[in-house]
Amino acid sequence: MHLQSHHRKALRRISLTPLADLVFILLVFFILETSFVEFREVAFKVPDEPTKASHAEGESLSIQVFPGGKLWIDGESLALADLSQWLLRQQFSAETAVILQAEDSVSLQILVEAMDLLRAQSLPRVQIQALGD
Amino acid sequence: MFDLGSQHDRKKLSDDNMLPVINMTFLLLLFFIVVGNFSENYMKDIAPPESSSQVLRQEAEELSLSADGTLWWRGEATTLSNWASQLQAEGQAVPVRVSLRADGQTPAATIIPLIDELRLLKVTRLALVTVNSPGQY
Repeated sequence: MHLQSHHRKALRRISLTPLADLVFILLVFFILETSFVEFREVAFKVPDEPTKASHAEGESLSIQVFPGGKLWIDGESLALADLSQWLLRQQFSAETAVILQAEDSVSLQILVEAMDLLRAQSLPRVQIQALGD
Repeated sequence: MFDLGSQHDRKKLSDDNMLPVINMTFLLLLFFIVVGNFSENYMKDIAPPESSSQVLRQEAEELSLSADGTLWWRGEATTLSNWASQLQAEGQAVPVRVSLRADGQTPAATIIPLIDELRLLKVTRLALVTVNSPGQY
């Protein structure tokens, strides 16, 4: 009896402070190292021919992309924001290959936005090319 | 003035008071372990483009491209030919599908020659890593 009581007292004397310290350190580590960003992807086929001269087989649509999201399609100037409406009017089939011909200084963000809009209109066959000379 | 009890009682009291704090901290710790993910965050200065894509990034050999055109692999600056030879030195072939974590501000003049080089290395599919557009989760 006496021994048991002594043992319990000894256990109670173990301080919780080091445990709390350690848990806090682990917490800070996990807060700093973990990320909650979920990355997505936009995948496309790498063209079989050099990206400057290739032409897609079958039905194709060439879109010239300029900085700031300005587009030039079939002799028509268009803003990126109006691309969806334009595509809706044209009624392209899902098999249509779309070639984005980007001017050198066009940012990847603009190209990805254009690809997003094309995919939203069921045009997944997209290639990126340099704007021809 | 006040009787705070013996030193032993005070210590016991202070330890008992810490229990909710420790419980809470453990819960937070578990939350971060379970919900957070350890991404390869050595490329934190690369801000991938925003997109509305709902396709989660698939596991693939990943290259990073900063806005200034520097190519990175496993946290080290490299070139595509070096990358291919390093893969070969490790006994691996150049994968047909490559993931590219490029900065959203990278100009087309940097991206397009890179796509051409990947084509020469027999890469057939390129996945651009993106993040959700704001307000889209």
